[in-house]
Amino acid sequence: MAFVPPSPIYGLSAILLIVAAFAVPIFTLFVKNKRFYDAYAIAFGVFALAISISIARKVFASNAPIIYPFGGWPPPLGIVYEVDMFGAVIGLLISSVMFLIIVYSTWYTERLSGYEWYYTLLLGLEAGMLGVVYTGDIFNLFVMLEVVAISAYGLVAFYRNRPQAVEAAIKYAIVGATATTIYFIATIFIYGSYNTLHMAGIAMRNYGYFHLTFPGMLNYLPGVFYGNMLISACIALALSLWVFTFKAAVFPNHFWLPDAHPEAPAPVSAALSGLVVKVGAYASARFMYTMFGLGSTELLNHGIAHGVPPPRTMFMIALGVMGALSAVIGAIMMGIQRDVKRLLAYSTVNHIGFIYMAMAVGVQGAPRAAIALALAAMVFHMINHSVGKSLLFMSTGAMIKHVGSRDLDKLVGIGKVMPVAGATTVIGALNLLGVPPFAGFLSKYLLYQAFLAVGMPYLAVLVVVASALSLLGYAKLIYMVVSSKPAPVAPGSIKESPVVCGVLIVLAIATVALFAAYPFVLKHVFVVTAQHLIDPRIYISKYYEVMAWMWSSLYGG
Amino acid sequence: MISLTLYYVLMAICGLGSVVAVFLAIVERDMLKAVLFSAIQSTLYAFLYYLLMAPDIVLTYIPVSVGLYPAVILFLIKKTERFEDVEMKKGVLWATGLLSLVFVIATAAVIAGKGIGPVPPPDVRFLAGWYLATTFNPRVHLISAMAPEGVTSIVWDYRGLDTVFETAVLFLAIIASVALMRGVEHKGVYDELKHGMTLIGKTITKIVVPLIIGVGISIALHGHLTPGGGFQGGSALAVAPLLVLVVFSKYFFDKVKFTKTKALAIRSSGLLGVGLTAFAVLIAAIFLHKPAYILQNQPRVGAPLGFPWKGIDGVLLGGSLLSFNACEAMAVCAGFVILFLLLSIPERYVRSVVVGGEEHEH
Amino acid sequence: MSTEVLSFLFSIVFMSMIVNTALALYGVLARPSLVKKIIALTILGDSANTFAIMVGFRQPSGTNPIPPVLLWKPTPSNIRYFISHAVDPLPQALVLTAIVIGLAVTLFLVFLTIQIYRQYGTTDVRKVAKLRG
Repeated sequence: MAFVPPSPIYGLSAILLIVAAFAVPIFTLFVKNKRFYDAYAIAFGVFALAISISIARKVFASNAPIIYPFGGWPPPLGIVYEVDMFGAVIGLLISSVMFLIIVYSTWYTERLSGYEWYYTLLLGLEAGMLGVVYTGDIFNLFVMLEVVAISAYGLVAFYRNRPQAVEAAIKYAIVGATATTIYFIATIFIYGSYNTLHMAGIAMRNYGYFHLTFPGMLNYLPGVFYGNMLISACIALALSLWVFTFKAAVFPNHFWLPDAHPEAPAPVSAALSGLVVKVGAYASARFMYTMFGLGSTELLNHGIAHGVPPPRTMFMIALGVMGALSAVIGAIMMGIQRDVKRLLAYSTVNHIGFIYMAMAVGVQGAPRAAIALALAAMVFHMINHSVGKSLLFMSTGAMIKHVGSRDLDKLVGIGKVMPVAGATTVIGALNLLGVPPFAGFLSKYLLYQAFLAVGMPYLAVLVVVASALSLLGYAKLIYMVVSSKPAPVAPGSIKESPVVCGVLIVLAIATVALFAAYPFVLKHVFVVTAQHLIDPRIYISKYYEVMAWMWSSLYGG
Repeated sequence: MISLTLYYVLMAICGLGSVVAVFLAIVERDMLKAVLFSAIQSTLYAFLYYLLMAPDIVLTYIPVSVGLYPAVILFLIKKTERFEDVEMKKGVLWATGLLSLVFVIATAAVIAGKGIGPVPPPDVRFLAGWYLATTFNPRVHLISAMAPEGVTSIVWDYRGLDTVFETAVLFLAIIASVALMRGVEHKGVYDELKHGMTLIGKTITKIVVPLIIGVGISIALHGHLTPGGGFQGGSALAVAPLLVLVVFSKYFFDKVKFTKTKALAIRSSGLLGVGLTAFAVLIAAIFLHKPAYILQNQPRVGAPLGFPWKGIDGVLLGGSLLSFNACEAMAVCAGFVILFLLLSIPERYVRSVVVGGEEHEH
Repeated sequence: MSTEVLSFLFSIVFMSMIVNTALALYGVLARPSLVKKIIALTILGDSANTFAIMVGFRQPSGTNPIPPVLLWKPTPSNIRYFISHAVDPLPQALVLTAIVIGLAVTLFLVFLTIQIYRQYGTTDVRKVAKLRG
């Protein structure tokens, strides 16, 4: 049976968003109406959301990844998108939160000069993030990381009249540019040794799937590595994990985040803190599980010498320690902030710490079911943090815009004049703190359970300790809203925008809905996703199937 | 074997020379000299790329790293500071420099002596063999890019998605710069005698500019046949407006009414051309009710449509590569013009808009 | 004998790129001037690119390698010669992408640095940090 090209929908989202961004400067020539650009951005936000939904439905219905070979090149020649459950879930998260951020931006950009450029960069940011999670090619990942990065630098520097914003942007950009260059070197190491750039191809070699030969005259998998595979794999992993922990702002690579995230416009802060850091976490998990996962090459998992843990385990320990330190340091730093956006930025460092702690338990020897539980908790926590953090940045953004200050003391009593933003701020804070009936409680509880199950009770204790430490920071936020002190502005002088209220309420409902749907989503979404992430056999075999099918159709098979 | 040894000796000299140039560029306090050392390093690298059989990279690298980078950084130094305020001991510096050279030679000896096999290897990697076998091979049309230039084929066909997004990064960088300078509008009246260089300079430029444009266009449009391509052609083309800007001054652009907005529109048209080429086969296929892929060039497995690759008289057209290269060259050139126009606005006008003011959250 | 000499000379270029990368990293991370950081960043990117191209280089026994451009008619024997003599085109294509990306980021950094100078009157990151307080 000849190969039938898959529906172009599966490869469309990132490239369509970027072409939409390309067109904006032409429209600026003859359309001056801001409403046009609002509608334009929303339309493409909806489009990306619709595609993400259809991808997620397809992946979960067929229980296998989707593969889209660009240009019709049979792998390993071209670039493929390979979307598995993990990618589909995070992609859906990105496009839905970005949609709300775009809607919120229509209010936020009123009286903002340069909104057309703002929307262009925002579309670029979304295209880049979707590309990162959908791609199945490590060099394409590099390009997409740069798309994310350059949009983020531009958006952080958007208030160019504020010296602090420009300084935060340049700090972020210089280290970010260094980091991506280092990732480029890592991809060259991998290409040099593995002779492919496809994630599934690399996984295939790491898992020793050399017996999969092609029926017929061609064999695309010469069972050799070039040079010393252990050394290049270790160098490539060390370099790329450093880059991803920088993107994800894990201690000690978090130094840029408390400056960059607060200085951006509020919806951009929501996107950066809620989503962009997750892209780093996503890439780390993709490398450590799909490509260099459990049970991959003997050398990576069985140790170099007696008594020395194998390299992969050492990488995991490093990630775990960095995650634990981030969780604690982020929580402590939250408590001493006076600037509300800086407080939220440190909260991101805290939560990214939890995510990396969960990621790091998957070492050789740990029970698989427990690792699956930890990864399910990781995915769930990524979602909860995205929803909660974007909610908080947008609700406080509305307050800051009305009051004209980011100082917690000057915002005290705001709940009386802005009831919706106030109430949703409280919900967001409780969600991130981990209080029922909000989903943040469940993901933290799941983390706790998973750490106990995997036999690392000290990590479980650490989750509780770090959460307790973060209480002070969240208490400040809640006090800011509910305090009985007089409001910072005259009562009745602020009219909350219905657009903003709508976005905030949707996000607040999401936190409760995820709580209510917990038994269902845990079983049918998070645990399945985690199982597919731990065991990449389906990821590899689907890729192999497409590859074999395309090549055999080519030769009249 | 002598000529081969000489060939490698030249490579080693380029390598060691670049270490010296990089060392001097990094420790130099005077930024003008640092740019000069960096340009020397770039020249050595360009020569190295030539020796490493990478003519495409040479063609990219010379306009970018030897031409445009130093020009932009000189703009930067002119607008900011020339000296770096840092004290370093001369002795320590020279010791570090010598040590790095010794390190290079010693480790190279260790690598070569240990016998990890011949470096460089006699064969390319397996995957590379496939690219070489299929870049232009009419006998296997269904997996051939049908363009003899291996690198351009990979850039726009095999890995076209990377290139579309690479273009996007440049686009977003320009948009971010335009956003940084939003609201800055400055126009002046061009005065033939007052602005720019002497009449001789202007006359020479009038002769040289069409030549540069011709070279740029030919680099771009022959990209599928010979080393070169859209980006290389576009950055070579950009040297022409840069020259006009330096010799005739910015006000000449005001006189001919070539504004940043117009350049942005040209740039976007080029980029939309890139986008349209990426979807062309797919769109045609939807109308003809046939299957197709995004970024498809030639007919592929299960997708029978494709760009024409051969003209009536046997001229190689390169399929989508030609269209990509033409649109990309237009976009890249216009992009540089935007940046040069922004950089050439006098500082006092810029400052009045982008410094101070109340344009932020509070 | 001669293979070792060639290996040694080629390794010199490899190690030079590693040293250049190290020097450039020092320049980006430790030097105070933003202009210097940008220059160092371009050197870092160039050295990484050279490294990539070297990974794709080959030395067919006895003869010179050729660029990955098929200059003759695509007959089977010509293509066979091409496959056995041309260098790897993939790293070159990746480098082309990386050069454009590096250029884009550098251009934006130049604009940001000028903006820093407009606001702080210096391009020295230590002085900027002090002024910001």
